[in-house]
Amino acid sequence: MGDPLNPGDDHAADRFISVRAVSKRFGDFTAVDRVSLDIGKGELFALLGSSGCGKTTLLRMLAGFEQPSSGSILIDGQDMAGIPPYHRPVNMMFQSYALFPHMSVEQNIGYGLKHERMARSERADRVAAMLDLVQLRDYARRQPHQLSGGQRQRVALARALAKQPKLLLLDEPLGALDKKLREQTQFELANIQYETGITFVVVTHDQEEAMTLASRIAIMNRGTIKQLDTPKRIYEFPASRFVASFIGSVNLFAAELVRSDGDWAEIAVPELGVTLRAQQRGALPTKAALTCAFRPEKVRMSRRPPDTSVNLMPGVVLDFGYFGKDSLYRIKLPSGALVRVNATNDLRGGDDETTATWEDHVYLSIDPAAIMLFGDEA
Amino acid sequence: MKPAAWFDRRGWSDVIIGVPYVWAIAFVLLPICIIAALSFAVPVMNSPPYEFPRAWPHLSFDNYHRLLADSIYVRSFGVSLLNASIATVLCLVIGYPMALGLTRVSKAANRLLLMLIVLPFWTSFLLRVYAWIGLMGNNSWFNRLLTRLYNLVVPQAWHLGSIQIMYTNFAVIFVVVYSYLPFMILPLYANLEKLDRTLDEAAMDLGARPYRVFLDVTLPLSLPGIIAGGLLVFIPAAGELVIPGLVGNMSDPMIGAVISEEFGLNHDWPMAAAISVALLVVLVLPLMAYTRFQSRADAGGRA
Repeated sequence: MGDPLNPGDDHAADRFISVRAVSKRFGDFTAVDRVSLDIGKGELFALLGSSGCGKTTLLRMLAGFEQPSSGSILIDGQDMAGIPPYHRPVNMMFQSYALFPHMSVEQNIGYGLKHERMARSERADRVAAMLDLVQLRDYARRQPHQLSGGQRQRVALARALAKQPKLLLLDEPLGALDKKLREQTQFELANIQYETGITFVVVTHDQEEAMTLASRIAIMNRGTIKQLDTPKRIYEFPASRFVASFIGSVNLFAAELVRSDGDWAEIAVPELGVTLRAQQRGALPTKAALTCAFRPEKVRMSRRPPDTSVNLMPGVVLDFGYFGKDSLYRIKLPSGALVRVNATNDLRGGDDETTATWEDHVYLSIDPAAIMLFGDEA
Repeated sequence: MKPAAWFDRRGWSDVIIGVPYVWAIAFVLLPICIIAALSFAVPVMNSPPYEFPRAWPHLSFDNYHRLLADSIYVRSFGVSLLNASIATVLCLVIGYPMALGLTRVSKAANRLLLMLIVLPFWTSFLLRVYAWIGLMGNNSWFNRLLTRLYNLVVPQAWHLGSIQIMYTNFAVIFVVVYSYLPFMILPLYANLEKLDRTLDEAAMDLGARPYRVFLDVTLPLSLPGIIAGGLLVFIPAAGELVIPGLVGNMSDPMIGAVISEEFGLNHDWPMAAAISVALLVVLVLPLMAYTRFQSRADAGGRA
């Protein structure tokens, strides 16, 4: 599978979809600002961001509903400039599903095939295969309004897959489903992607959806990509304070660098009234203000003093929320600062060592490797 | 449920639903029954100018016999339905692009254009028809302009002194289309405006060129609007009395003029009633078909 335009390119598969310095302006508003990214063949890629971050505009440019103001989009080596949606090897699953209300399930799924030169029997076979893929074989003659939300979602998926596009775009694919159904559908979607080998680009504002579905995630904010990496690396090693606070929950405190020996840094955190030891990754701007961040589940909490004395802080339980599998505590430090701590309820009925209740005196300790340091952000 | 609570109180809902029912029975159903009864009477030189036969069954079917036997009635029915059909199709052909255009322009332009469509209603309908008479008449500047343009393009042998527009069937259809166009555009617009534009995008995404999107998605989904607009034009156009009376060909009248003549000039109330009943049947049948279609579509559209 070589790129016909760049025969010498070894990494053509990694650049199956190539977005190069793409901007989109609506009047004075810049929805997408010089975004560049490459998506590999067969990848399940997610664009994650809050509403208005430009992810949907980027998706609509891939589909051809919007033309970039500048920059170019290449799909399988072919420049998409000026190519209308109906000529692109791209199909989209719409957030509202956009099923044709006057057509049956099989007419919906077969609609895209009508525009290809395809024998009637072959078309029927393809529709049947799609119905099997999404397990809706018994619903072929139903009208969309006779289906449940989950079934409609699967019809929309089958319709978008029927033309075997090079790229499938999914706009908030699980957004309209209830929680139980989402979980199940999430895995189905990933399976279908694996089976068909089609490149998926998912747009979502739901980080859980992005994390479980995608092999790589691009976090977008204000029209730019803040970080592009695997879900694990984005969660554990966020590149910026914005990404750290956008993904998951995090304790954020202003800090100052006291001492650094390259591998380890000592930072003063005035708000907490302590000096913390943190593992250093890369160079830190000396003297500059830092942000120190740690995730609630990375903090160890105990009611007896632990063995370690590294990054140890005493505190009092202010309040807590019990979620069943875990609890979220808010611990008040002597300085008055609040630290959020996540503790797993792994022992049935609770264990005196780890679970605490209101007014309990507890000790918090943080692994130096779990502390993230960020320089000041522009 | 809260805001409707006062409406749900016993008695209130009965009264409120009852008022239009009483209205419809007193001023629509009852007159229709009187007309229907009248159509089985015979005309007499008296006041009132009709009576029912003395012999059993006290009903005369002569009027309906005449309706079918005398070619003038059948012919004017034909002229009326033909004119109304042509006018409806023309209104649809002219109105559909306008209604579709209304959904595709900016909000400001949309408001302005909608106002322009409704604007003619601010002027008396009769005045507007007279304005057209002024324009179409053989000695008007408009007619002279048309005649000159016509004479420019056709050979000398076909030259005309003026183009005869007034007192033709063309003039009737033309003015009917002019008068009823808003009644086609407004329901169509209301329907097209509700359509989900993502469906267009979905069709385009699946490979449909714009004209296929229109044929496969927009047109079938706007069928209720087409039918509503079509009926709003067709039904009044078929019974139209004023326009053919003012600009039409008197020797080939539409059915409205015939009814008016029987009532007024001929004092034949039973005959006029019989024609009215026949017209009602002809016009109500498509309406019933429509309501059936509508209720089926509603049942189908329920999510």
